[in-house]
Amino acid sequence: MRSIKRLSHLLLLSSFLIVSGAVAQDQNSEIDPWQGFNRPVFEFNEVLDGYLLKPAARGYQAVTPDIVETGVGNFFGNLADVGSIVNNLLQLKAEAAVQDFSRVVFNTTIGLGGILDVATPMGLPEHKEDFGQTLGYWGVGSGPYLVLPFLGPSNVRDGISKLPDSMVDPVGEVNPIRTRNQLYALRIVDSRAELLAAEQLLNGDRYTAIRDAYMQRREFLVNDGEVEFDDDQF
Amino acid sequence: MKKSIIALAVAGALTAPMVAQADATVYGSLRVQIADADGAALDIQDNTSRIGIKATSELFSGATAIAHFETYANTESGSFGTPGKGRLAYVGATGSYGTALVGRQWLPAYLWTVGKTDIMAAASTETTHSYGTGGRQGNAAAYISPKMGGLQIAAAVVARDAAGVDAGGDAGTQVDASHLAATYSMGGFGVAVSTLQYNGTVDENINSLGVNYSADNLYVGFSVEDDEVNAKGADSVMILAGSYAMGNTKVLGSITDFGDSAADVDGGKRYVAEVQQKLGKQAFVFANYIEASNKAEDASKAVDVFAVGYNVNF
Repeated sequence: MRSIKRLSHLLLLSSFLIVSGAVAQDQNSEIDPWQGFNRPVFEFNEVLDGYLLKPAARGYQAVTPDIVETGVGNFFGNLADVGSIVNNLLQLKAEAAVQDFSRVVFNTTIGLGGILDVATPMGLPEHKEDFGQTLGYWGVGSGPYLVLPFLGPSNVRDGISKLPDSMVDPVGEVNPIRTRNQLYALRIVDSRAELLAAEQLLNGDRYTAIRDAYMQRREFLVNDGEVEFDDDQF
Repeated sequence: MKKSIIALAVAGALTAPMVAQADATVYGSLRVQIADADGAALDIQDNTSRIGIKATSELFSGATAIAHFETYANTESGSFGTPGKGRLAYVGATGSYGTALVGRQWLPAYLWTVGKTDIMAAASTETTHSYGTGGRQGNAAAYISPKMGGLQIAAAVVARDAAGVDAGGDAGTQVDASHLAATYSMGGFGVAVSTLQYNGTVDENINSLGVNYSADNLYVGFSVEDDEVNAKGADSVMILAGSYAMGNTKVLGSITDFGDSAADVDGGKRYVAEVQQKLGKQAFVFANYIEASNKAEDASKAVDVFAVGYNVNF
């Protein structure tokens, strides 16, 4: 499952590299009118990432056996399925909601708290949905690209959606707070470690590459993989 | 050469009785669940596993003779059956005139009415119905008509030489009962009524009604049962149950209203949710949650239970 995730990241970045050369400068200013704000924040995040997050992710990957890393990824993926249930319901995707609900039930019980992803081989695919995708599904535009301090690439719609997403995040309900924060930290490091391989494909202006990859990936997710291409992109 | 003759003779000796044998099928369903019930320790338990043999053979008249035996196959002890108790053991015949069965069998009192709402995989959800008096009955003879434009009727008698006392305090030396039931189905709609009139050691009645509707992947069933044998003077138990299948995933739910007891104590309600995931044609896993209302818990009608189980049929 992790290899599929990595492959999807690589494919998205590869598609970005092909497409980005053809993207006109005026389109950049259209999706990124706040570049004057975004670039300094991006630089700040890059410094933070370079000195803190990336070394932590590399260290985590170095000392953690693959099986444990997979288990940790599965564990947080199972928690994320809880939010997917809510957002699938909000998008009136009953079958996906039921499948995600079934995933949580079986992964939490038979899958030993979510460490084992037994649901996928059982025929229950995951349908990752968040509130930003729900707003997008109902026609809310993404708005300008936005780089959030600490949180990284986003846009206005997704940035606002992080609040309702946090309300259905089971980690937020964990007590005591110390354990909750440890889980938050582990999730951040695990997520960052998953991106280490994908980011090796980035070259040129990292800011532009990450921005376009992010915006295209979000459009891809909102449309459940059905993306319309403009003729001038080919 | 000699070997060939011997082999032919052996083959002939083996095939001759085979020709006369009935067409028999061994089948079964092994079911294990892990249950966490309120007030009890976590338990890996059997979930009413069973194993059986079904056989049919053609009669000279053109009708078909039936033999059916089924017993518990306990996955905890590894033993067959429960001492003094099995599930099914009957013989009969079926043809254009209908079906006649004698022996221990499911009565239409269960199959046609309350069975419509008994749709969950977890055995712990079946506590509203008495299988002993209203379900499988030994010493029974039944006639079930063929379908007549969607209508089917059944009549049965139970005659058992057994002393005892029923819930109403009636004592005797015989368990006798007569049973009438009718079911009608048209399209996806079905309705059935049943009355099981005990007369003897047990001197009360069990009356029930079942309604169901199914369309594509949706199923909805409703049953109401007035069991005076086991709960004399109590209200009828009503159950509304439904399921919806999406590919290999099925979600199920039910609400049970236990009604008031004979002493006018509210029996409360029970809510059940279940999800089943097919792993193949003959195997599925399920997760089942029972939420009992406070009144249901106080009346010992139900407790909160979470169970995860695995069924393999063959």
